[in-house]
Amino acid sequence: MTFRFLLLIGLSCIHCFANASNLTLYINKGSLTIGTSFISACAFNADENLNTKSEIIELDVNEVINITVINTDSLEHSFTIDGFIDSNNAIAPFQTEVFSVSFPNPGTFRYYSDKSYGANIGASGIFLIGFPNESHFFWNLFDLNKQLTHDFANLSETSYPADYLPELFFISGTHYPFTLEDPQTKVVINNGQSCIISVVNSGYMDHVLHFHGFHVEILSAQLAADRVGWSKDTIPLKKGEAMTFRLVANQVGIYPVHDHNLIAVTNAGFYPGGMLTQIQVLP
Amino acid sequence: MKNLFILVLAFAPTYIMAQVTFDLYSGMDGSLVLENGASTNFWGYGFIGDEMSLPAPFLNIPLDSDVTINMTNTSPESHTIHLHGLDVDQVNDGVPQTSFFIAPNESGTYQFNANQSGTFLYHCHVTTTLHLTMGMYGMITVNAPNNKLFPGGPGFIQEFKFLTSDLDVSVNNAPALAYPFHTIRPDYFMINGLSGDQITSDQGINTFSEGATALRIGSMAYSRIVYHFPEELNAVAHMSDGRPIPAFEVTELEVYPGERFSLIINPFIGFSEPISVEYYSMITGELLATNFIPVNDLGVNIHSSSLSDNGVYPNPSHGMSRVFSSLGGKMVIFAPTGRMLNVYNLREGDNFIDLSAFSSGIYLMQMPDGSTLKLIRE
Repeated sequence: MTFRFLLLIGLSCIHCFANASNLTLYINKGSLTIGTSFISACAFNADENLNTKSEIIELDVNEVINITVINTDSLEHSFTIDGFIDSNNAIAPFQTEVFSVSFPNPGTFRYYSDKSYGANIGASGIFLIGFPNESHFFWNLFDLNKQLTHDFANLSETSYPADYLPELFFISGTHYPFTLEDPQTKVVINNGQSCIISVVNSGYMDHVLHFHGFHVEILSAQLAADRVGWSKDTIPLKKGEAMTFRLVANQVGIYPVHDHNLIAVTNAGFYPGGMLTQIQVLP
Repeated sequence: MKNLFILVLAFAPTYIMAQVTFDLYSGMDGSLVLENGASTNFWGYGFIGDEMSLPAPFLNIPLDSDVTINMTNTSPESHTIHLHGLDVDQVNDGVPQTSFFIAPNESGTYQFNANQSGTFLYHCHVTTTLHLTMGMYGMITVNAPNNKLFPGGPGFIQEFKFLTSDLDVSVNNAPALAYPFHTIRPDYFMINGLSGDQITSDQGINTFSEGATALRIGSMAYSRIVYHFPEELNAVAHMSDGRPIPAFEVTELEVYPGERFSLIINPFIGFSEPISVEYYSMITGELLATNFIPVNDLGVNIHSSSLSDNGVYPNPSHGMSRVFSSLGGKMVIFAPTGRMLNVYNLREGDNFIDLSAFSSGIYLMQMPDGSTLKLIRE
């Protein structure tokens, strides 16, 4: 095991005694069934069992985390965070690397493997930094074609074809209606409270989320930084985007949130499905 | 018959609370004439007594109105009205799984208070992937008093509304064969239901020097839309999704499915160049089509008595401005304190000067004939 102290940013005086924590991630690759769809997948999981929902990592601002990444796959991977850990790193097959990182500002960041088929079949996860006093929810957007995941996995394809036909649209490793079963995906909140929603677009396409019943404030954006502070109900997330929203629940009820690129609210063509979840505001 | 009546409920010194009612119907028997002369089917809404249209009727609502939309479904399938961006409560949200649907030959009512000015949309939320490509959408504007984009916001003397959309002609020709829905690919691209050469100057923008023009932009397309505003339009974005945003000058504006923007334009006098509107695939990023919105500024006579034979346009200025001078000679720009800031050599007639180096504020322009104009730099 080697130790890489790749980038340690911004230990300001305010947080000079910030906590350090440790985490182990496993890069797993294999095949599994989501709903009725059999796909190949790769993910960063908490143990050696493949799960399409990559781990969510929550940190305080300036908190240093030491992440031990164990590659259980037979191909090389990376642990990349745009702007923090570049893709020059490599985790050899069946090897382990340790990465240390901290973030000087609150917000959402995406980590992923950009080596081999990594992110193309789902090896992509979320860092949420800060916002300690509100409840947190997480949406990791991903689009895929079932056969293409197998083609990536067996290396018969190495890049997206020009005629890419996305047919499944995931939020955090699954699609509607299973999105409603994940307490980190379905937003449940009491009326009068606010919450933080942390979103990354890990897919190949741009996506655009529409909130029913609410506008949300954009608190951070890695690509559309000029939109921080805007209050919107329909928010584009370009490929690779990572955004943080604050939702203030001011009316009771159940309200959908979905991709307004409407081919993405289907499961292999069936409506409703795909990138669709709900906000439930309790009295 | 268009049924829009406003009942004044109460007078207050600063606003009028109104009650607005719209009577709409939904149908599935529309016929849309395409640019090539062929026709395809569309589903949509119309005011009761009027022809159904694509897009559906644009609804104008005074700010703070209590709004009722009665919808009668004359079609053989269920439909709803989702009030996109208006943040209505669950029962009025128009999502059949969480609200209600309106079955064939039945009627339903949606009610809400329009408490935010701006640009919004409405559309059917039943089997949305299909019903939107079939054409069931329209625009709603909630209008602040005194021709302002929002209370305290920029004013305008006229407004134009542009709703971009697209459809997959094969789906509209045979919607029963539309499955699987994820394969829907738009191949016909519209602004307010028109495409290509169907968009003539009658559907374009005529502006005047007497005041600014508001543009309300929304998209129900499956494509990513990119507007290209010529620099001489002096386009400034002020709102998105029915909320004020920090104003910014814009020459290129992306509008994703479901997004809306409100802008103010102040074109140069005599400006005549179209706004181009591009449609890009949301999957591949490929440019699929371009439409053009004609723009003609008719306020060519800035040499008017009200301007004492001299003029600057637009004013407020966002950078480049057109200055009309009755005489050739030097024009001097002063700060309000009287400090001279710059000197320009003007010819008699039209001159174009770049004021972008000046920070926001009020300046005085001493013209070659000795008269003084006030210039506002935004």
